[in-house]
Amino acid sequence: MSKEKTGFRDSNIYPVLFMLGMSLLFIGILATVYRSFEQKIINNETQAYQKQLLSLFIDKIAESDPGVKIDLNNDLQANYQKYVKSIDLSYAGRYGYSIIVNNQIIGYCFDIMGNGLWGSMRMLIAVTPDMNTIINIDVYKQMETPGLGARVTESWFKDQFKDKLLFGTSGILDYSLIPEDQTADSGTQIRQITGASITSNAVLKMIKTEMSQIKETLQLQVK
Amino acid sequence: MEISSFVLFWAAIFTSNILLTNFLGMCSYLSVSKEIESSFGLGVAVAFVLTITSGLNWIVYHLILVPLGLVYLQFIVFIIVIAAFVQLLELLVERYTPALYYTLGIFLPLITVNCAIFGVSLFMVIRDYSFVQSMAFGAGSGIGWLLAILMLAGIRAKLKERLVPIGLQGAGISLIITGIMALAFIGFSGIVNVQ
Amino acid sequence: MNKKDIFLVSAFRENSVWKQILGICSSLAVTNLMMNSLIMGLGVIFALALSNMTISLIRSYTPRSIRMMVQTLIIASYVIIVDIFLKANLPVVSKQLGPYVGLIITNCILMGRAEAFAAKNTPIDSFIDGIGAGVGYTLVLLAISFVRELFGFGTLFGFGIFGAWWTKWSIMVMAPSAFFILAMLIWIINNRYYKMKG
Repeated sequence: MSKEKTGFRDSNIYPVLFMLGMSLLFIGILATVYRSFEQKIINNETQAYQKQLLSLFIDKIAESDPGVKIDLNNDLQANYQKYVKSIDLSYAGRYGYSIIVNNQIIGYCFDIMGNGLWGSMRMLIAVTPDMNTIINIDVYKQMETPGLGARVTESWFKDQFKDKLLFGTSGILDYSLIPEDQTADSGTQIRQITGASITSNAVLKMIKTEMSQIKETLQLQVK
Repeated sequence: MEISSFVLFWAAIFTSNILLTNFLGMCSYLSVSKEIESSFGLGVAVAFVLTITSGLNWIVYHLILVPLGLVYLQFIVFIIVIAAFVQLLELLVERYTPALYYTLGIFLPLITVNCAIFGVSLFMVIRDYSFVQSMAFGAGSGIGWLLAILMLAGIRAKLKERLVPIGLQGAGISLIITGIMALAFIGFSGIVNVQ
Repeated sequence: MNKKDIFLVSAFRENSVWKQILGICSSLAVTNLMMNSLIMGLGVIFALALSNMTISLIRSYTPRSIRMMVQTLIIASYVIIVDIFLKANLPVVSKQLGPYVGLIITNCILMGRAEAFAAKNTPIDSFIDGIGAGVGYTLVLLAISFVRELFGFGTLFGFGIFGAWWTKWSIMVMAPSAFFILAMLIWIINNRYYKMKG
């Protein structure tokens, strides 16, 4: 090194020590900040999830329990505990829930996963107690292209699945995609998202494979 | 996760070009694209660094940060990995291939602050890619970036003798060209359907 | 230069976006909704002002050889704080902004102001300069997102402006529109600038 050594500040060790000190200081600050917010972040995630799950059933619950007004913003925790019970699907690596109103199961909800174009997708699917009809769906985690595939979260797309038959007399039904600007004329047609057929197909495939598996395992369990 | 890495690679180049749809790496894209040759140099350097660092960051994230519960430090760690890799590359290139250093070397410092490289590392984590997928996505994004800057440089070279409104000269007209390129790239959105 | 001048110069006269075309990389993607742009802008103002101040505070102790690394470390730390804060308090926005919060780190404005201003001036002045540059930047983001959200969704900050009769321009939601609008903005500002000069 051609530098003049006039003191500690000019020695070679000073920059290293300085960098080390700064790193320790800032990582310490970050660790403290993170720890103090950690619980809140986790709570937020669970709350968003519970809210999404309950909102799939909000009409059904109102139907079977008239007179009850559910406020998802204020009594989320209480309502969730009142209506939702976990089903053990851990052997299949999935989560399932039964929705119970006045000691009667009014539907199931399953947390299913699949692959979109860019990454994994997670979806909540609400079905009737016999598991034959879809009540509602909601994609809660996706990484698709904004403006194209990411439109799976738009309500016109999700609402198409409302009250669709999932299992016919001869097993699970096949859905087919039609262009977005056409109107679906049969019960198994779904309007796809323009420019995002991979994503649209991924949703159909995810529903088909995951639901037939879940139904199979659940039936085995009952027997 | 079984999205084919091959599909991901093509999608990163065409349907979801890192620059034209995600706006990443704009700064050096606008300032360097005056000449085709230097654009090519920078583009190649970016593509190379992008591929390697997305692999490196995958290893660091999944083998070090996740087991230690330090995921919240990912931004700092990623940027350090990128900076360190670029520095190392600069040393190696200077030492062993001086000729390459004179053509590419000047671009290396620009790369550390290129958002595209850091952005790809973040996307890789958020989208849960596997190691091979990360590399494919990194390589695709890098080549996509190279393609975009080469196209802009080519068009700007043609524009040199044309009259452009004074207020639009420089960045303004480059942005408009980029917008038209982005529009054209939307046409690719069907391409990966044919798997 | 007094404090007010520092603010005005960095916010308007030398605005990094339209004078130097810096720092647009990480943020054009969030300009399709005004709310996201505003939050992003506030995040940038926070990180920019505080990192400027911190860098200025330690400027005489920082060895020249590792200056860049120290600056990156400081900037990254403040951005992580913004990210944690958003995750804890505004989870919906944080999810929409996704990786773009982290990308503030590579926003050229932060490094640019650190080098050009904070490394040579007092902490208070650097803080004001950071706020000024951040405000100027936020204004540009808001201007772009105003056009994009109004025509793309028919809303502003999520409030319906046009009724149901409005046909949404999907081009405004997609990427190319951001390039065009930014180009127009630069054009308008440059024209005014040349008129003032001529």
